[in-house]
Amino acid sequence: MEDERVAKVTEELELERQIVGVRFLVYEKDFENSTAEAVKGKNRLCGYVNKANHGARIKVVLGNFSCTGGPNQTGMSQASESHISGQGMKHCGLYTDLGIGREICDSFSRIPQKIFALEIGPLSKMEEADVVIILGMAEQIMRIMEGYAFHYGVPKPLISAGNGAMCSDMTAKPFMRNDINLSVMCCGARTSTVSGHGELGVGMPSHMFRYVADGVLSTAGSRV
Amino acid sequence: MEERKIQQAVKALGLKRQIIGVRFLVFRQDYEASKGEEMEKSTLCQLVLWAGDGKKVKAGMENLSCRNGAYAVGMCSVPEEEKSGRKEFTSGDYESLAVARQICENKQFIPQNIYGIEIAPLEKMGEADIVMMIGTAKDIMRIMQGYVRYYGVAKNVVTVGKCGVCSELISRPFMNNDINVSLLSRCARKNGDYQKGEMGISMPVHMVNSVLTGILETVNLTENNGPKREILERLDYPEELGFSIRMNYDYAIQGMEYQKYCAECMKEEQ
Repeated sequence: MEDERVAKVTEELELERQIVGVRFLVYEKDFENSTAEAVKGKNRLCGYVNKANHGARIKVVLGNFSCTGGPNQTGMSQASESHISGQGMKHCGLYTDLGIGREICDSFSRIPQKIFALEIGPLSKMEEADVVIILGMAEQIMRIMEGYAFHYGVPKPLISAGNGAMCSDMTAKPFMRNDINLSVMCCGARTSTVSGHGELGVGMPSHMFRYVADGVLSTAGSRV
Repeated sequence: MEERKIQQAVKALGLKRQIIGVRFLVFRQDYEASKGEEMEKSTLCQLVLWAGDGKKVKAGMENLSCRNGAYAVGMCSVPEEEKSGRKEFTSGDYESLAVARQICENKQFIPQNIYGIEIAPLEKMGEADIVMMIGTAKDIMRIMQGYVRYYGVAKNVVTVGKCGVCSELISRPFMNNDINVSLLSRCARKNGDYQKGEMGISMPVHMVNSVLTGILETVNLTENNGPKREILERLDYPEELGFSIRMNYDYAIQGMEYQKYCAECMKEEQ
């Protein structure tokens, strides 16, 4: 989908990674009907997005995940009580108290409905997508936000805590909030996507992509 | 400001530019008393660039060459055509006047009168109102992790690629009394000569001690062995950050230990 816009934006911004789409395959039948390649091994959600960044169009079920964050945030598995309560976050040592740990978990905006599988691939190769993910250098992502602002103005406050970057910041949050979200990434996503220090990302509901792309192209010749 | 902690955080992050402070010089007397160097006519983004390179600089209305910078920090009143979004709309960067007006409102220019501004490396400042860091996207991630450790989820982060330094890194964090992240803007990138992978983060000064502490306390928990080796190479001695760098260790290991504990408790309860 959106082949032409994807090509124009990629060229305008000189993106090195392909723009990625994520599609929620709600039922097993949707999974079977998807023509994407079924994955055999295990990886993290961010690892799969990295494959899509480089051209692979794949479909994955719960058994293909080596992380709990990916399936938990995207409705493929149910988060445990210790996670939802924030206890797990507190005890992993990242946060100073339980209230912060609970707030972080809450902010993940887990998709509450059941989803059987995900299709992840270059957006231009997909027939449908629910969320669009773009990774790039800070300046390229700045241009994406300019493109967003051209049509939509100011986004809802951007939420990124340096944790759950791909699964939450760039997939669950944009879907659940129905708005673009910026991610400063997390250490796991940086490792799995082999991101350079200057890279970060945005996720948006797929219906916004055409307007954001149009905005990027409309502001291409901006004077300042 | 605790100089040692600033230096430890700079080494932990590997920042190429210095952490800088911004001080509002409210009255002319404050401006005259400031020891900052008065520069030739320049933009606010250039002042930030020079401060990042180690200079202590100051500017008033007369030696500031950008109007947005002056509006943002309260050095002059914002004219109606600016506030209404009409001027912004003529730039062609927004689809409609309503979008342009919202963008202008969101800049959150400081409404009180401020005579001048002093910008310098944080440790060179007696007092500061805002603390700003320009670094790579990864540096900004680590700083945000330090913030979240003490303050929880940041609720006022907005960046739209417009007025990247004057609004997103000065007036917004001040007016919201909270941290903000900026992808910078075209004019800031041009005036500041920033790299493609660089961006900024800024916060009111009272937050910086906790954020720097949070950055240091999360080094062992978040970084993997590669970055940890790079940190060790930057240190003059292995415990310079105030603790040992622990290889083969991160927050997931502690998290798994807690999961095991939970499983044992649940088994006993059944």
